[in-house]
Amino acid sequence: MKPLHAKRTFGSIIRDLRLKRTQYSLRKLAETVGISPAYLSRLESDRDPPPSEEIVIKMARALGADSDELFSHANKVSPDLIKIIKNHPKSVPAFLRLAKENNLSEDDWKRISEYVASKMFGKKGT
Amino acid sequence: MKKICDMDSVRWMPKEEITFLASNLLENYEEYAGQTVNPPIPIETIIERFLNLRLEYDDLKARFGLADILGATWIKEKRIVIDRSLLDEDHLGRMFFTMAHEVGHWCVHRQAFVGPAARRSRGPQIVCRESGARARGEWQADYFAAALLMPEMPVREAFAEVFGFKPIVIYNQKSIAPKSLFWLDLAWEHAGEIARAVIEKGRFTNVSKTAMRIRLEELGLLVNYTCERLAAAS
Repeated sequence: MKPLHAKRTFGSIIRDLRLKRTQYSLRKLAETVGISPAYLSRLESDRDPPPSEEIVIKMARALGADSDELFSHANKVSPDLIKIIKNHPKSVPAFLRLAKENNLSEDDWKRISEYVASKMFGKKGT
Repeated sequence: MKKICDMDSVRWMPKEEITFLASNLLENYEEYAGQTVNPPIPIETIIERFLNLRLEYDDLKARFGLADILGATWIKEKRIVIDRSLLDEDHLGRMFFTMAHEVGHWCVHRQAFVGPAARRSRGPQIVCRESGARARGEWQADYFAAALLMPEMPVREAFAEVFGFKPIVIYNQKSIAPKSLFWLDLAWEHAGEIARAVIEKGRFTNVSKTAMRIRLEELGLLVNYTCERLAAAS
């Protein structure tokens, strides 16, 4: 999926996704996600801060968007990631800080992901 | 709020011209959609996807301190805002009519808002209130909305399927009774039922009974002789 533009607001991204990827009206998307149309309208025009994690996940599902990217634009972290960090309170933050210090590129992250995935299948890393 | 354009001072237009503008919008939308558009006319889609206007819901009553505000249009920002009270299930017909009304302002009156005063303005150029419905521009926007949501041919066809080709003339029996009984207006009740039948047959599901009654009267399909009979009886 084409990545969402990094500098845009949460509201403008939601509105663009709704109009370009779906046929939802404001009212229909609001109904699907379980919020009021007036609230969705305020979210789209950035008059309200981004919604709860639960609503972000429902929006991503309804709009066919990557929930992690939507979380990023909402300045939030997916609840499952928080759980992972909580389960490994030393190693995960240490690893992320190390990655930051070394300015890992997208390719680096991809290679690391491939390595981890190969470990899961009992294969040797490249 | 600074007044940019007085809706009383917009130029007079014949009904035919307003109807033409509404029909023209529908035809252009059909071309965009690549298909014939039948009722219910998708007014939200027309606003957001065809006209590329922002559609929003807000508490306009609180925002402007006006108890009877229904909608507002920001011409410069290409934005239509509907008062959130109309989102109530009981008011949906009115909400869609207000949307079509604001589209009417956009199509019919927006050229009146392109001057320096409009460019400097930060507020909405058009604020629509129930109490302002008699202003010429508001009447024009109402007429446009009715022509857009209830195009003449589909209304006539639906009416004919239910009631035949002759107009219905309502004689209000109680109206010629002594004045103490005037409170019971049977004609009004019957008109609502006639409107409901046309709405159901023609699938005008985003239109209120009141709006359809007025449209049927406008098209000469529903004639109320009550006033004439009252006048004759008095």
